Amino acid sequence: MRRSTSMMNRNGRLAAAAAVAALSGWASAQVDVGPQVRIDVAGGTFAANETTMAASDGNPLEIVGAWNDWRRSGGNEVINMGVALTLNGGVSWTDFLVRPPQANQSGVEGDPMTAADPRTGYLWVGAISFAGNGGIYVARKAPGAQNFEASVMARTTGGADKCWMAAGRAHDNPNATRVYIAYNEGVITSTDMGQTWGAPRSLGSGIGFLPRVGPNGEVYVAYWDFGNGVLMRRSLDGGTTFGNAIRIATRLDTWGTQDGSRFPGNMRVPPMNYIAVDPNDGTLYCIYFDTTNRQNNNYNVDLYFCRSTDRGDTWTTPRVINGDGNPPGDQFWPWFEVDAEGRLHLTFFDSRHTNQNDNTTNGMFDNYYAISEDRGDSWIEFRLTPNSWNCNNDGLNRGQQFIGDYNGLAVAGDVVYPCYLSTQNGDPDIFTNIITVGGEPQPGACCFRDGSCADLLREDCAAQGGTWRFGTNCGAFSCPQPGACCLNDEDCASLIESECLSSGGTFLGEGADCRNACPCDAIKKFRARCKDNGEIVAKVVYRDNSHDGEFVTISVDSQNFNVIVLNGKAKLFACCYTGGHTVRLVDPGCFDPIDVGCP
Amino acid sequence: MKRFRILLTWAPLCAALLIGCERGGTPEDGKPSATAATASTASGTSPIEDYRKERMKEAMRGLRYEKGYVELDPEQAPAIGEEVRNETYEGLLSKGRTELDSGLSVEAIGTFTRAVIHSPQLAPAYEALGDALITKGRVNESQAAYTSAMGVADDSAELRFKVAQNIQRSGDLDGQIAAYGRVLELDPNHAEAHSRIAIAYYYKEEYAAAWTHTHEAERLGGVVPPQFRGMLSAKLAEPTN
Repeated sequence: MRRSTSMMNRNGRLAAAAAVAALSGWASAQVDVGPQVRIDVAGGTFAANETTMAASDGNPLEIVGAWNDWRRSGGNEVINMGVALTLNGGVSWTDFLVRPPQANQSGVEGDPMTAADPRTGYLWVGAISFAGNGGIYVARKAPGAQNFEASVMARTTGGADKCWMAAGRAHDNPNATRVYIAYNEGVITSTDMGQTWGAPRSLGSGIGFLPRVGPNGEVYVAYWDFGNGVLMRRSLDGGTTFGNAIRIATRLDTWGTQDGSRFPGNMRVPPMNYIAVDPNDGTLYCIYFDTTNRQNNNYNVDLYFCRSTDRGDTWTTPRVINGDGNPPGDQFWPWFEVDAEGRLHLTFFDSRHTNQNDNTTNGMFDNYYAISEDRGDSWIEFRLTPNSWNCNNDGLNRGQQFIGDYNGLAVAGDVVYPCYLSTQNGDPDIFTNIITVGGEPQPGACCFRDGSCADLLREDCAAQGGTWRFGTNCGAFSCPQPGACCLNDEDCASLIESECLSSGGTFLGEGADCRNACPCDAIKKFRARCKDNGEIVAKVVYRDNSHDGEFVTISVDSQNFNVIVLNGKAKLFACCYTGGHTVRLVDPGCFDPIDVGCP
Repeated sequence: MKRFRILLTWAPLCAALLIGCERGGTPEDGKPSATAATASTASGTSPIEDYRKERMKEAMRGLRYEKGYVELDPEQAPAIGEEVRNETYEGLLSKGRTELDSGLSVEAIGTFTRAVIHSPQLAPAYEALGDALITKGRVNESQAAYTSAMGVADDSAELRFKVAQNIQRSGDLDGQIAAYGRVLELDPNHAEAHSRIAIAYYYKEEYAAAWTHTHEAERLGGVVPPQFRGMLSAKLAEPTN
């Protein structure tokens, strides 16, 4: 593993350019690491840890991060899921708590998870409410929406432990999304964008179940068997069934879930395993951490990497990918993603900058970002924290320190957002950096709500309220088109699918016209004719009598008439007309107007 | 009830196996308060731990582990024994295994605890209890359960292997080598035991011994983790003979 060289530019950013790449023999990407941005500002100095973050090319300006958050604590610990959201690519963030439905709330809501759907741009956050009436809860946010919707219980259980989630195209329909949550009891699946969830499909004993969705809807779940096994199970039918366990790798060393004896500090460091999938060709990658050797009774824990090009059937020999100090430090809690260009983006904790023993209480750590442009063969690293931080400043008064169990990172287009804890300010805070990869910004397809498209830069698209798509243009990309959306109040509106779903509606398909047959409407028929005496008769027939007492609005030309519904019908008799006229069902507005001819 | 008068005392076994039988709970190092924003419970533990601790406490109720082997709790076990009197030992074992395979570790611990109380003279529930306890990071209690299983049943290589794995988790390299060596005493063809001994020698920087056991593992048809060969070769070229 080569040690990377970093340069600080005039803006306080870390930049790796071609010169550095040439020096190290590394590939050619330009990497611009922006300054740290704290995203749990409203959490003050209260404890926060255990981070996760999600974004997608489907909606790259909107990124969500989450963590365990102690801001409501007084004399006793109260833990909730803290959430940070940006709608402008990280220029500004707001942070708040997302809690389960009231009946399922508890004093401990943690183990946060996030997901993003590259197809629709939806975001999800979720966590576990640790109580007998608790369980796994999730909340979703539609593209463009300012807030998350009310959370729903994905699974009510008192025994849930560590969940992670993923979203991706359905195995049997490229135009549908499936959302998955994997946890100790198995995998649960949602086919309605996270509103309702099925029963768990058990994957057997293990922990740290991490789901990922491949480009063809294949589902991979990595986990640790509490022993030497780095394992994975695979589903090719959308999570309905899973194959037998596949061994990705065999650990050399292992330790218990509550054990941190291999590391400086006095916190637990569960050795869970992490996988990611190339969204283009489906190449699978795995990173886990294990003991490489022992020096002076200190464990040297490193990040191990391997790859599969046959959907997990076979894997390359694991090898260490991190740089290190002398004496070596420990690298752990990796989180990585693969972007649309096939680049790998990795973040992790690292103790290399302090010469320290494993039995020290004041463990000193940094956070790192690393990128690989060659499918993991070589990496370049960036130190994200300005100084090493002390794990003893965890903001908690426990017998054992606690800095969470994992890290997070999201990638959207050519921008990367690591999400990590640092106590560099003397208390535990959550940070991200905006890391831009590549050269000059390129325009991409910017889709608007009316289905139109313009090739714009990312920022310009955001300013105009569009949804930006990374790595494509209007010539190559088809923006979502509006179509009839049946809303809960039985109205029909022309919306794009994501807007329709976020409004609680049923999308009838792109191009579907509200003026035509509108199955969302409770109205069975709309008829109008003109009698010989010049009386126009219009009739609205409902499918049942549930709308009796309500009014419909029918117009003759521009004159509106409100007509009551009785026995499932509303009848208008209007007199007297000559010549041609247009009769329209104004409200609800699901039908084409009718032209009638009077004597 | 006769079954509750059975006292399992395998301390000599603990010593013979070089496993820690006197260990207690999670070590605490008296860490000072960190910041003004420090949140704590009255007991200095987190509510998340309290919640889980309560579930675990209930699941483990009826057995004690402090001595490094499993004892029936004279205050709790009799009542639980009455509760499970009409259940079958095999039924409890089956239920617990189903729970464990469904990721319901705490429930499985509870069921295996009841199975042990049901028939403390039988080994399978102890072994299963040890398997379940490790899933919650309870290495010491898991070891105590395995120790008791070894005390009430015929010794087996697989049970010794589980004991050795727990010693491996503790990081005791010499203990690990000795424990996997005891596996080989019963099953000289246990390739994975050789593999684990090889790794322990590697960590001890005794590379020649590591090669010896690597070759033994491979001769027996086993494989060492593929990354290990390269790592060992980087320290000491593979002997040709």
